[in-house]
Amino acid sequence: MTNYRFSLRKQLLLTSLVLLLVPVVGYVGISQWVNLLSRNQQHNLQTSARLMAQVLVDTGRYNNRLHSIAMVEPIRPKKDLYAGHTPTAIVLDGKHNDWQQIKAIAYGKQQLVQIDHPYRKQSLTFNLSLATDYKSLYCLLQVKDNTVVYRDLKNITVHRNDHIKLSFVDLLGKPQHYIIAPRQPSNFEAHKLAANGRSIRYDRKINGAWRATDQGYNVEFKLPLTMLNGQFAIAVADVDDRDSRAVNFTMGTADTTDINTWGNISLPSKALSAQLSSFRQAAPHIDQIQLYDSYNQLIAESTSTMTKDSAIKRNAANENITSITNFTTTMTRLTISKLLPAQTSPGFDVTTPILFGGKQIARLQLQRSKATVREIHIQALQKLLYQSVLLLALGITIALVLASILNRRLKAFTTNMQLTVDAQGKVHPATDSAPNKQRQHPTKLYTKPNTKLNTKLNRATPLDEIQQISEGFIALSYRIQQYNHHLEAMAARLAHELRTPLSVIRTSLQNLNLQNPNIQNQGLKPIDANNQVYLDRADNGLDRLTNILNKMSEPTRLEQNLDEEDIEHFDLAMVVQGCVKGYKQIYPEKRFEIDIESQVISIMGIPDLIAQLLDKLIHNAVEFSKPNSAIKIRLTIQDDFAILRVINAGPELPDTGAAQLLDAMVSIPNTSTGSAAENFHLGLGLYIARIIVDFHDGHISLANRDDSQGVIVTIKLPLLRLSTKLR
Amino acid sequence: MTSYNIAIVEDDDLLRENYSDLFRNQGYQVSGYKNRPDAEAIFETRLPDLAIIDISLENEIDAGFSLCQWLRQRSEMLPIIFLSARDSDIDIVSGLRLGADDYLTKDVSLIHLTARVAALFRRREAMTKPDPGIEARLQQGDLELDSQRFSCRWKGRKIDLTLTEFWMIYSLAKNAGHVKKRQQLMQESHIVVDEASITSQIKRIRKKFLLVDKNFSRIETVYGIGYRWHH
Repeated sequence: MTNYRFSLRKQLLLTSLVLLLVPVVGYVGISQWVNLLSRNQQHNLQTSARLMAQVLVDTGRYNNRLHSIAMVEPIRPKKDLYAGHTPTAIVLDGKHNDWQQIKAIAYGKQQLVQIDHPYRKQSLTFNLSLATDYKSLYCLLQVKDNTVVYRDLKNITVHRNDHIKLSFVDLLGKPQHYIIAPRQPSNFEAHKLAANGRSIRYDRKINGAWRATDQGYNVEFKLPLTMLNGQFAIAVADVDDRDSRAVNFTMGTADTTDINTWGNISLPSKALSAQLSSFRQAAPHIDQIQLYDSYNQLIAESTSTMTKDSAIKRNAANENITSITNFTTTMTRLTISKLLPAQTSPGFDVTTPILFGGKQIARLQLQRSKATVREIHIQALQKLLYQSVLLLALGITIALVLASILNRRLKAFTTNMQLTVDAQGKVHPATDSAPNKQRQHPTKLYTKPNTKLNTKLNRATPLDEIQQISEGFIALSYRIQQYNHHLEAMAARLAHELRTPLSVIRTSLQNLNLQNPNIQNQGLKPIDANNQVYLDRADNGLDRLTNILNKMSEPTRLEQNLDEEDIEHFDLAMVVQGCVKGYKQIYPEKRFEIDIESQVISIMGIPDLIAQLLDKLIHNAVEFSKPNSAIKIRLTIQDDFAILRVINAGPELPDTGAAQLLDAMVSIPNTSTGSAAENFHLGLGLYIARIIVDFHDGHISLANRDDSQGVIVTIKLPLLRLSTKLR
Repeated sequence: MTSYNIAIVEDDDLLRENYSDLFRNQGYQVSGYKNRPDAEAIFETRLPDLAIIDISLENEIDAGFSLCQWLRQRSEMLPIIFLSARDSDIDIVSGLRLGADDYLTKDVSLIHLTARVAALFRRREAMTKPDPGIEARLQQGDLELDSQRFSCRWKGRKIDLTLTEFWMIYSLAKNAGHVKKRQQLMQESHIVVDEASITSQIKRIRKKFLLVDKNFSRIETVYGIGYRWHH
């Protein structure tokens, strides 16, 4: 099989790789589409946000909800407090776990309100967290205190131990003071203090849990919102000496005894949140709406529970991958989502200011979750991936099939072409028959062009270019064949045509010679001896001419006479031996060395032809050999072949290819032995040898000797086997 | 010597004249014809004693063949020699099958041609005379050859041979057991041809014997040298 540098199959395969651009183009397209989508949605959100803001402002004029916001003074850090809305219920147990989402405020040295002892950090710091469920205010204090002193069991007073001070202004505008000071870590109710600072009673409305921790204690309590009116202060008093029980420091939002220092506590508005929720329900594509006041405190919000639910569901699905199809899908999903940079799918965060009375009092923030857009993006990419793979596979398959078909047709065409023109340049018209059938015996080379060919040529429209080439080639080969026939017949015809005029010359000369005695008898002047020389020369020339003509027609005659009926099985060794005996007589000046491996070498064929073949080889070998050199003839058996070698010592073969010498009318000038007439040859000897070898299904080759001292002709003939006997 | 009439049918004027001159000088009467109708017109009234015919005559490619057939219908005994430039086996075989006594190519020398003509006339004379007896006969095993009448018998059965073929067999059988080189065979059968033609000749002779005797294998090829009549 021929190896191409760049076969048709490869070319088509490479061409089909252009399909790889499909996913690239698709990816770019999807990215642009997602960007557009994002921008569009952002725009929608912006519009929605503005509308909502307008609605909030308009309704706010009547229900005063915004007035309270508008009138809040600038906040003082760690003094003015904000309690966010807790999405989850808070259990009063002193544990921090249900406060995860709420930001704690840290209190330290800066927030000391009363100092009676040198402050050390380990003595007291705390974190304050506030939250609301729109009914109560929840409060968590995480106090770090190296020495926790609880209330003496016997003692009534609540001030001489670690305690929490809580003060606020009630709805009636009166300041209220409370103290949290349990005797041990437990659930508690706060002590309400009288104006003089004495504990009056427990107030059940303010209750919670005190829990000891490694570093101090946690206090978690709640207080109904109905008690609050805005001003609020909370402080932690630290007692470190169990004997003196003096308060060393008080740390908190303000001095609870000085109402002027108290800060404000602000809470998210339930009403506003409800309004936001109604907005969100009207616009389901919005996941979250948040309203912040000008101090960046969350006033109201509404978050979709849907997104949370679906997220949970998806997680569950991810964990329960059981089927393989799901698995591959998930794998591609995961791969895509890993490869996909987060920035490529922007989330939507839209903020719009709320203007009230000419100044910005709040801002409204709308959010669509990034996950949703990303989800769409991933889904699109996944789909693209599947389609691309499918398309690529389809494209490559089609290309391969097409390439194979083309390949097969071209191969058939090439085979036909090679069979049509054989190594000798002889043309046998191409047919559509299977290539095997075209292996023809030399005797059958000259089959007339078949009629099928002509009908083929007349067929209307060729299928495609290849068929057209193929048909063109058939027509061409037919024409070449005709021309070759003409040329082949030419030599024979020429020889034939020359024969009659030659005969005229010959008979004339011979008549002249024969008549010499008669002329003498009649007393006429005979052709004198001098002139007789010219007659002889003319005779000699005639003989040479005749010889040439015979040789010219020899191959044609041989081909005509190849007759399979004459095939018999015979001993090649005997024929070779006999022939060599003859050559010793014919060429007495040459030495012949014969070396036959086996006694009997049986082959199928025509022994006369083999003898003729050997004649030609020996004739060449003699002609091209050095004087006094030996001509070696070796006959060996190799595998299923008889190998006959004729080796001479003489000039090497020309560089122009030994195989060519086996073709008709190719010869090399012989420089070693003059230009004697009998040595004349047309280069037909090896051609005849070739015809005979082909007839015997054998093979002939010419090569220079390894030592460059001459030429080896090798002939390979199949040995007789049972199978060939039956042919 | 009775003057025999030789008819030469040849379309090349010069060649015909050369042949005519040759035979006239040898004392024969010669009449030349350049095409088949002319020849047939004359032969209609009087047959020649011997006919030398070319195969292609003017426009007729196979005129010689039909003429030979035509003559053979009129006379069994008339010696006919084909003398043609055509040397393919097919032509030779078809010519001989039509009953010609010999088939020669045009490169035959005049001496060989006259030898053949003379031999054929000798045979004609021999036919009219009583049996020449034992001296003209060559007996070699089952082979009987009559060198006067050029007749050949194998195991008592007659085998039709051309003059050339007869001379070859005669040469082989006379020296039975000895190898005859091709060159010798040519000499003794008065022809000059290439060696491949000798191979064809021998092939044809063998076939004729095989028709009579399936197991005939007396003519032995000695490859590279020649042939031998095997005892």
